[in-house]
Amino acid sequence: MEEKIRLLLVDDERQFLETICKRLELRNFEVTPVSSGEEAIEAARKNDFEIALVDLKMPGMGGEQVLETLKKEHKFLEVIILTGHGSIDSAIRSTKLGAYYYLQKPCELEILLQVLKEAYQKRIQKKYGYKDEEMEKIISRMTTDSSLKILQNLKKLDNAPSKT
Amino acid sequence: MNPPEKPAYDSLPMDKAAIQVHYDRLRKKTLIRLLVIYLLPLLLLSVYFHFQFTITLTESSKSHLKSIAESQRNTIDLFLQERVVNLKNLLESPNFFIPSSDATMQKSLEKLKQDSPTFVDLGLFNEQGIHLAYAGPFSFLKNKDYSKEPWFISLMQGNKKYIISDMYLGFRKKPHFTLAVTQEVMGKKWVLRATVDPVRFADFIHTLENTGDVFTFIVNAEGKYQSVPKPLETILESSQYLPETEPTVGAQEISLNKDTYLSAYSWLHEVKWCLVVLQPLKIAYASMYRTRFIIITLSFAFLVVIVAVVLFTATRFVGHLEKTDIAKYDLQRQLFHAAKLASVGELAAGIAHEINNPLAIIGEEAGLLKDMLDPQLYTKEITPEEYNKHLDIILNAVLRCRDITGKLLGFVRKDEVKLQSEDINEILQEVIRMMQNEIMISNITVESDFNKNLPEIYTNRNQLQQVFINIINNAIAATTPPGTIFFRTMMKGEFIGVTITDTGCGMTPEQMEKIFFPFYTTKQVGKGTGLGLSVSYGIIKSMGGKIEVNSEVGRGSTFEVLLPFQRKS
Repeated sequence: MEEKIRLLLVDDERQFLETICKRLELRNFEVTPVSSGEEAIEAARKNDFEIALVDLKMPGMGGEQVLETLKKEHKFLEVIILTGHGSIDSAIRSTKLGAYYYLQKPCELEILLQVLKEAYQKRIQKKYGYKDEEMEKIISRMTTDSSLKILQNLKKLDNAPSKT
Repeated sequence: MNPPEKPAYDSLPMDKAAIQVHYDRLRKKTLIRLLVIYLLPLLLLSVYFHFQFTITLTESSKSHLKSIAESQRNTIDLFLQERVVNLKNLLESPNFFIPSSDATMQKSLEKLKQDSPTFVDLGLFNEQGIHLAYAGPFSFLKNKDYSKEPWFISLMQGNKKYIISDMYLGFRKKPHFTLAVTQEVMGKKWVLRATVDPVRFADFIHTLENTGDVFTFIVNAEGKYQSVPKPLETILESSQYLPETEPTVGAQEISLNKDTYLSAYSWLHEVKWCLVVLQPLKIAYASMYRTRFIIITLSFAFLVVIVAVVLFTATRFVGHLEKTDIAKYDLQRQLFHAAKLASVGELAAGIAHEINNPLAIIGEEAGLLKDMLDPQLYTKEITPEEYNKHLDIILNAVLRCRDITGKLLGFVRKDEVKLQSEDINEILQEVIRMMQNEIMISNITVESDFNKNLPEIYTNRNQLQQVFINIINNAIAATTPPGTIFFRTMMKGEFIGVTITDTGCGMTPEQMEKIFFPFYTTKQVGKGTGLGLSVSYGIIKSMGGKIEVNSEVGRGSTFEVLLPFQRKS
């Protein structure tokens, strides 16, 4: 049985959340949409997520605080910032707080998938201690350019704990 | 705390016409002041010299004429004395027998005429006043009784040995005057008298006049002419002018026959006559008139030069100031514009970010529609309702974008200098709406307490919006979320007050002193221009209002804008 990659999506813009959720589900992701920072932290404590997509400017708890908390509480969870209020300063701050990548809205889905793939790679490397060259070998053995397919292969890899 | 004493801009004149009116007034004032300063001393000096010269020259003219009068009087006194001596000599001469015959008298008269041609006739009288002997043209006078004649009575009663009478008509009915001497011979008094021809006497006086510009005449104590000035009355008429008897010599200005004269008089010693010398004022004061003319001409020339210099200098000086002020005004306008663009810039940054959200929705919706058309991804049947639903979402997002750009354009619309009746509450609410997203995203709550009964005021809506935007921008920047911005409008005496209170980081007293200075900013480099509050201060000042600020570090700041509401222009 094929397991889905579990994504946590945090954004106060409900319409956006709904649409992107649908598109990612079409691509076989298991998406948990939440519309505030507090809900995001709650959801992450209840379920396991591989990657979180976090908006920065939100009423209530801001994205930076969410990022900090998630990184502290979940060792292998990669966090990607997706914001409409992008600026260099906030990008630097987010990176320092451990965000894997900093994306600005509006963002093409292909690019988002690419970033998700790289983030997943990072997760695997961190979790299993692969070096960069080993990781490259693994990817090239997959014989595909599609970020989505690589992501799915990486998910399978992640689910085979026998591998060391 | 009040704004600093010397703010960045004291005020922004409303237009160039006001500057011109101001400088026209200044030009007039400066001109008048300079003219008064320069001309008044000159005028005073001129007046002083004028009077001084007039007094000096009048005095010198008077004393000159007085000396002429005195010398003429001496001459006439001498003349009369000589005539008396002539008579006396004749009477005392050993060849003159008393009583004498007409022939002797005739001889004696001829001798007298040799001494002075002014003698007319000669007569001898006894004590009783009977004309015993006569020589001269009026032979009918012989044997007449002179005892009642005033000169005879005076001679007989007086203790003087001679008499000189006033001019009179006498028995001969022609004007003449009498010289008479008396002598006692063998216990009887005898009187010898001669008469003087007034015409010849007058001729003699006129020879004294020398130069043609003085007239000399003589009046007796009753003011009757004893000799006449050439152009004036006839003899024995009353003169319009009788000099005072004390002092015996004097000078004054008089008017006779509509002409004005300088007159000098001197009373004779020998007889109670007064010699008067007249000189037309034009001639008497000729040198004074000349000096006066020179002074006036010179003063006028100075006046013209000073007026020209003052006019030129003041006009240039004020013109220079005006140019500087207009240049300053232009610069201020540019600065205001730049500052406005800067606040628009700050506003635009927030708004551009706001647009990203609906754009992201549009992008994702379009992507989803494409996904739905991809048979590999989407296998379900798609209904037209479903398409419609997604297209509506896109259209909604587009409308959201339009609203956002509309807000920005609403602020950037062309500067209206025209003042209009405006409702402050409404302006403030519009600004809050414009900035609502920015405020909400920064996790700031808006609270307000508007006085619904504020009067409308004539003001520049656009500039006022700019002021509120600047203050709200600062409030947002100062606030660490979560915070509150509290808006309040109220009446405050003759002002409408608007307070904007934040719960931000506040300011130290040192910072508060500087916030209205241009280019002072606490924001990061590139984030703020430091113009917002200084320009706001200038705007409110130019509206006749005030901005006051209260702040405490860690608790927040309150900005209070006070606008006068009786400014209907």
